[in-house]
Amino acid sequence: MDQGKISPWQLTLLVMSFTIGNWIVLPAGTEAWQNLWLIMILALGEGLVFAYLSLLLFRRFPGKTLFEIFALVFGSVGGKFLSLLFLWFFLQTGAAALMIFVTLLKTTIFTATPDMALLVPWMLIVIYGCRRGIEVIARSNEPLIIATIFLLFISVLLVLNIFDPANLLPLFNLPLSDALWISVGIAVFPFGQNVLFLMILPRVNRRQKVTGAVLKGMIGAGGYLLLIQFLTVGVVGKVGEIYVFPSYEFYRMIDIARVLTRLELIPLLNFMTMGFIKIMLCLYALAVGTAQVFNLRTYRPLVFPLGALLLIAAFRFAPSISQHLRFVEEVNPYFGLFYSVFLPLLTLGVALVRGWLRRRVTS
Amino acid sequence: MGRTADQGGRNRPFSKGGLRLLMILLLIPLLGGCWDLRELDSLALVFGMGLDLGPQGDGYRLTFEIVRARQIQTPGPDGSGGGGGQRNPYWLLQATGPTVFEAVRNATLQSSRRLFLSHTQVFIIGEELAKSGISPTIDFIVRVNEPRIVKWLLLTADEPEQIFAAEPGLEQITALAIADLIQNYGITSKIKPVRVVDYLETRMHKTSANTLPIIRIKETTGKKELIIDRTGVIKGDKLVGYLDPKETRGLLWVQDEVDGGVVTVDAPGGEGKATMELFNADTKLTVEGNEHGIQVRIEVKVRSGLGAQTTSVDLSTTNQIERLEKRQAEVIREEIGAALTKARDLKADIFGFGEYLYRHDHRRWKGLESEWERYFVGAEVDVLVEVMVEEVGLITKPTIYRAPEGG
Repeated sequence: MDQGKISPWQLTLLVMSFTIGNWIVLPAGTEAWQNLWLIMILALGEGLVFAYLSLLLFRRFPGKTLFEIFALVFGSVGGKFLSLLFLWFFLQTGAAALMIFVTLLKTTIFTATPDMALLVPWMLIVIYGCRRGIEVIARSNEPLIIATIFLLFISVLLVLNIFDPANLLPLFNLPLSDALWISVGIAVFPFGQNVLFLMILPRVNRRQKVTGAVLKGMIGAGGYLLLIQFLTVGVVGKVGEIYVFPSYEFYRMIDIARVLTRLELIPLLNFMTMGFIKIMLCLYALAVGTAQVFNLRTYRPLVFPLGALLLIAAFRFAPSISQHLRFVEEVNPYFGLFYSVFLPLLTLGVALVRGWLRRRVTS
Repeated sequence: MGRTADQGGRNRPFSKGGLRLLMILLLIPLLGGCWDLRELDSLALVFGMGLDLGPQGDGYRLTFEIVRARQIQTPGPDGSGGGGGQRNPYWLLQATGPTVFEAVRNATLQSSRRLFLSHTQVFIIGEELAKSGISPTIDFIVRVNEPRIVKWLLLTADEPEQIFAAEPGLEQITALAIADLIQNYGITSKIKPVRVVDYLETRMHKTSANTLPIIRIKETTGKKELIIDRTGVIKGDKLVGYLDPKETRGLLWVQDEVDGGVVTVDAPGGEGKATMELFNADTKLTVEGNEHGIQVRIEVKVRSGLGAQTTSVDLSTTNQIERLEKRQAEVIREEIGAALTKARDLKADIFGFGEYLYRHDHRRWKGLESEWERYFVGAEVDVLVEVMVEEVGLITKPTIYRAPEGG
């Protein structure tokens, strides 16, 4: 198994990249459009609570991955079953990111390029990085996330002349129940997907700092996405509602003295870097998880076939962007709640009850 | 020796370095460039696009103004021109199709190069088409990645191809001339500039009516030249009426889009007129309402200076300036009034009062939305104009100066 170690700070940055992931180009809950950035504050709060609860699991079983915890709590068979369920989650998360990656490129700049010509070299890099282990992923993530944040600050300066605060009004015009439901959807995607890090936490060198690091990363990513959404609404206005990729459109509208225009490469760059880390982490979790389910010594031989599987899954799960959008809107809140809230809490509950029973028996 | 090396190779088909090299080699051809390689010499750069109803009244007839890049090089010192011949710097191409997209593709039947729409500066829509609805036309522009939504949208009563075929004045390409014409709207503030995205934005507010500038051909000494001197009112996606330049500026006052221009008033205390230049204008709009009706308050603050006078009376005294300010305010109020009257006649909320109410008081707005037309027509509108005349130019006494009698 991978013996690499990462620092809490690297973990924070990884959590940030992973959360920003594909949300940066394709936000969920766009039916709330104007109110989305406000709802995101709420969603971030909910996401932090969910994450804290899941992290309690790691506190109780320090140094164990999620799958090892499953095995300890539910026994060998039950643990394997839950592990397989989670492998599906990793596969689906990675496939969705990959699918959005190819759709974005196909509809914007590489209109005539065959999908495979985009995906295969991309997957090769992902596989290569994944085989190198978590240490390499974390280190390669550092410059990428710093560049992404830097580009955000540049973007703020670039849109000062076209930002119209009137577009943000009315601040809140949704029924509260709708807003809450959308916020749950956002709390599980993108924030809830961080449950994947339960596979990676044992690789952090200072365990007592893990909780803080993860929460910090989520807050950072939440702030980042919120700011992007805020700017997009202010610049694009109500029209943003009808776009598949609103933030892409927002960069297309930048116009500084008719010289600095056509900056749509910025969101593509942001997504390509953040999505890269996200897909890589999904593949990593998938490979390490599979290795643990089958008690293998190393995950490395699995990376290549699983990468190929991810590629196929990207086309299978969502052959068109409409299907993906429908999934995000209708299925994902339940799907996400099941994986990032229900399963970790169930495990924690069972673990606590079993511990309590054991203590009673021994005393 | 050779055998062992081979065997080593067989056991580890990819050494670390070999694998890396293989990957790099694999990636080079793929990352090098786009799949559909498009160089400048294989593209037809479209600068202007005209859209009108098809010949039998169904489908679309599109006109493309395609630039001949070779023809627009600056002439050499001998005046021979940069590239071959004296051909027109642009080529007008027409195509028809049941949808805009198909018409764009059909154009390639006549063009040796693929049409490239990313540089389109203006979209000119024929009035016939505008009367039957604009949004179906715009859908393509917004949906496809090539055309840009921050480019200008215009109407014309003439055939769009006639507009593109007109004299481009100082420019070489008509589409560019039109784009510049609109961009300089602030010199008069009598043109309402509208981008595709603005049209869409207004369209998405159910009660707001759109306005689009109308371009037409004006014959000057036998030459066809272009002029934008009207604004079309588009209610519910269909052209329903027109604003003249005065009403157009009335609209711009309300929308806080006046960027400059001049106002001519009757000179106080004498025959003749005085023209004031606007330096700065700022409008504050407030809309309040309940089920009994809505109240609109338009506060305009203007800073201006005297630019020309035709009377012999000295207008630069403080007294006269005060009267000039009052008269100027009167003229501005008239302009706003004219726009309001026209909008009420057409029952079209071109100012976006409804949008304002929605943004600032959406709960109240919900109750009024369904009958907005009635509320809009019956709105009480207060117009407050505050004018400051700050400058009188380089001279104080008029050039038509008459020395005091008996001097």
